[in-house]
Amino acid sequence: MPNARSATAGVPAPVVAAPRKRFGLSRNGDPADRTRGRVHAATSDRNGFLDLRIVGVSKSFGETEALSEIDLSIESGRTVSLLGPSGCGKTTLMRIVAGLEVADTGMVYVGDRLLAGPGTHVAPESRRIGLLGQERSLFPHLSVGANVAYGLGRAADRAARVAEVLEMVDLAGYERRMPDSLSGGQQQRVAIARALAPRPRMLLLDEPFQALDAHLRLELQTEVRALLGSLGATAVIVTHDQDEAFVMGDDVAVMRDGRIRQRGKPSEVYGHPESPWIASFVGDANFIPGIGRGSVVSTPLGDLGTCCHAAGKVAVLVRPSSLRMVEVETSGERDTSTQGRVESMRFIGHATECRVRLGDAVLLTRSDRMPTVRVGDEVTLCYDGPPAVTYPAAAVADLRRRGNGRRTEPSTLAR
Amino acid sequence: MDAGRLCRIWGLVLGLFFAAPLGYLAYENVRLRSDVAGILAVARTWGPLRNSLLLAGAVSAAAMVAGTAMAWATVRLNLPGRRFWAALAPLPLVFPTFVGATAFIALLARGGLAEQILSPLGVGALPRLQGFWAAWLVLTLFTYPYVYLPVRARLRHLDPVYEEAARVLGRRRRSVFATVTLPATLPAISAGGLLVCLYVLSDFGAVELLRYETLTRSIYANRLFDRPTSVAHGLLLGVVALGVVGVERMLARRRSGGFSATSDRPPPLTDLGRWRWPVCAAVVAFLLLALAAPLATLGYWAGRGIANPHRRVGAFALDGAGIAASAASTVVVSSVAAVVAVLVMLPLAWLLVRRPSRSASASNLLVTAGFALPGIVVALALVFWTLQVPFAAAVYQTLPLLIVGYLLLFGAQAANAARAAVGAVPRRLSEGAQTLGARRWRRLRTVELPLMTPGLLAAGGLVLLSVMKELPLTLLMRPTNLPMLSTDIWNSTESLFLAQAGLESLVLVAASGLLTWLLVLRRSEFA
Repeated sequence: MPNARSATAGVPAPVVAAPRKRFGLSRNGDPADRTRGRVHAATSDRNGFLDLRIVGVSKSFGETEALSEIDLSIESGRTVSLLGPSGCGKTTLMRIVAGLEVADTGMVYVGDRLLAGPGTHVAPESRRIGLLGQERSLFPHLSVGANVAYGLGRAADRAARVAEVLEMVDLAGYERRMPDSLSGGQQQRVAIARALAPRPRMLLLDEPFQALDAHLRLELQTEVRALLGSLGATAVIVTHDQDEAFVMGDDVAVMRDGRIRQRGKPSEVYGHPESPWIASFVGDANFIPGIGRGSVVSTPLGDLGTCCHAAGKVAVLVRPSSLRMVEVETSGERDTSTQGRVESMRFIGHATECRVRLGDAVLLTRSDRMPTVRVGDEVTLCYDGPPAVTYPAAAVADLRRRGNGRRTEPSTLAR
Repeated sequence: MDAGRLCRIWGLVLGLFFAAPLGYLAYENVRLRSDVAGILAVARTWGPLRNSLLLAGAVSAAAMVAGTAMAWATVRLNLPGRRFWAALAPLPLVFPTFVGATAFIALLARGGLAEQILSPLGVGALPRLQGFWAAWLVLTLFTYPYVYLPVRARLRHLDPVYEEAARVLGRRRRSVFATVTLPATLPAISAGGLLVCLYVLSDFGAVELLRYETLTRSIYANRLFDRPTSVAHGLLLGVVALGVVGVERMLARRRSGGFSATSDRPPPLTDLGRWRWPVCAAVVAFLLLALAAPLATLGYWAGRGIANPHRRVGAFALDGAGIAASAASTVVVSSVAAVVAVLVMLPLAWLLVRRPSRSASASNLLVTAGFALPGIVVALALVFWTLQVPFAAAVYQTLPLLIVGYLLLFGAQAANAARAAVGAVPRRLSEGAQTLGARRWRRLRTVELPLMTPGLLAAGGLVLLSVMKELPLTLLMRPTNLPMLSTDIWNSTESLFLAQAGLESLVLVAASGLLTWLLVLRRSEFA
């Protein structure tokens, strides 16, 4: 691996060099050099990845507000998943960072360099940001090698760099193939190599695996995740798929209606969603009514411990996997309040889902054990999960009215 | 015998029929014992051949530049009135080239618009418009839409993702255009350019009126007194035209290029900044030359004629009743040709869609080759054949033979459009009717024909349009007592009866404009 200086000096592409002067970066020195002193910059330094800062970015298309006051920072070497339903503005945000769209207000910095702000709009070709789109964007009239070399300008070591990045994506020796002779997964790997070749300061991946079939998607997710990690890449991955967001991101930022609603580690976002909407967007969720009494909440499933202070009428988040079913006959006590009837069952191989009617609510349960009950059986439901998360009851009612943007309906039948 | 077998035999007959003109010319060369090699070697051949190729090359190049520039400007630049210019740009297509040539001759003629405008500035008599540059200008102005239309469609639907990827990878706009946009558009440009090339090679009216000595002109000039030269040149032109089609086929095979061109995202607009108005002025100036100038000059002369109703001879003479009669017979003849062409071609179209086979493709190839043959070559073959073969002289210059000529020229157009019509009937619908117990004829009558009707009407309309605009075949083969608009315009222009030519042209342009809008433009995005 070349060191920082030769790495950045290895890209003397005229198209890149000229704007660098224009925006005063040669005066300040290469931004890559200045990251050297940072604690976490050891790996990112090597490849020149920098941090991203988005400050107060807003964008409207005519009357519709696509983004409002977005703030998002990503340390160099970290990967953030931007998760949201389609139409939430996540792709617009990526296009603004790439320079393909102009924000109405706000600023975008990569490293210390202002790319977009009041009166400033650095052209996309001068930003040194790698973009991997959802559609197949390889140039069909160029070979794999020419595609990957496309962003390299007239550097002397083009061939070497092309070979190097193709090696990274496991396609060494594919230089002379044409894109249409490759499979979808291979094409997307070439696209990754092409984005990486000019040593971008950060990477934007916009639904990169959407067009691939399920098992290929899993495979590429794992590989790309590992590749980004080993390169120390700063990256944003835009997706509407919860699993992909959790797998790919060090952090997940959930977007809705042009705003970022929650940002945190995947486990945090799943375990402590900040709103009922997020709870049901990132996974299946039951909401049951309860009365909060400090650290305990009384529910139809009994008294549950809560993670934080709860008071008054609340809605309690119960993930389907936190519910356990016990057949009534075998359970000794007959507490009718937690007793329900199995309404329907769905066997999906690795798990079984049951819908259980409890009073006037229907709760979804999921278990990886083979079911012993049948439709129509009386069962007792037990809560078997972490300290419960609660929301004001009104918030859940609001969610039920507006829907959650996912195709599956949340089982929010609590009254 | 089942319907498929009948169709296949019909297809083979058609193929032979369409191969006949060129075959006959070859045979005629042999029969006349003409010294083909000798004729081809002399300067009298080289001159016209060189001129034909030179003109075809120069016009194709200019049309590719102009068509691409106009398409680019109206799709990708933020010009004021972009959509309006875009809708006007394909309209020069409605001028047959001999009408275009007529308009420009009339523009510069004595007493014409140009003189009226220029004489106060001290410019004296204007030269007669003729020669290479005149033919080049007129043909370029009236053929560039063949490039403009496909390039515009390509640019509109090209997925912006490629250009965005190129920019994000560090290329400036100009570099993106050269390395991505142009390669992606090149198939459309080259297809349009080859079409223009074929059109110019076949063109007779414009080069004859503008006196530029090409092969078509020499065929026409020599047909009476130097038959061997005429026949040899006809064969030569036919072979050159087929060569162009061959190149087109070869390129078409590698055409798609793999760029995804199904985008519904609006194409990104480039902001021209202070160049916005100058570029718009250039677009408008080009449209003025290609559209407004010919229309204005035709209207001007027609107006002069109408304003001087008592002149019986000379530039202002006008024969309104004659024009009405010509228009009526033109419509009748064109309609008959259209109906015949669609009926004759439908079985082949059905065969190609429903029962594709090698023999069907071979028939189709011959039919397409017939389309590539210049009108004057087909006319020459038919004329010599009727004058040569015993008893055939009876059909010389009769309506049936004229219709046969039109069929040879435009049958391929009808076949192509009819293929689309047959394709509009999904096989599963026919099969559905079959499982419900409908036999062949009932299926045809109740399911297939009703669904095919719009497509067949379009096919007929295309032939109608082409026949109306056709000149050389009509000129050589029309019955002497059958007036046709195209030959009337021709005669009026040759005699410099410019008012008459102007009014006749306006009638023809109006009819062709209506049909073009109905059949070509309405189906594209200009609706």
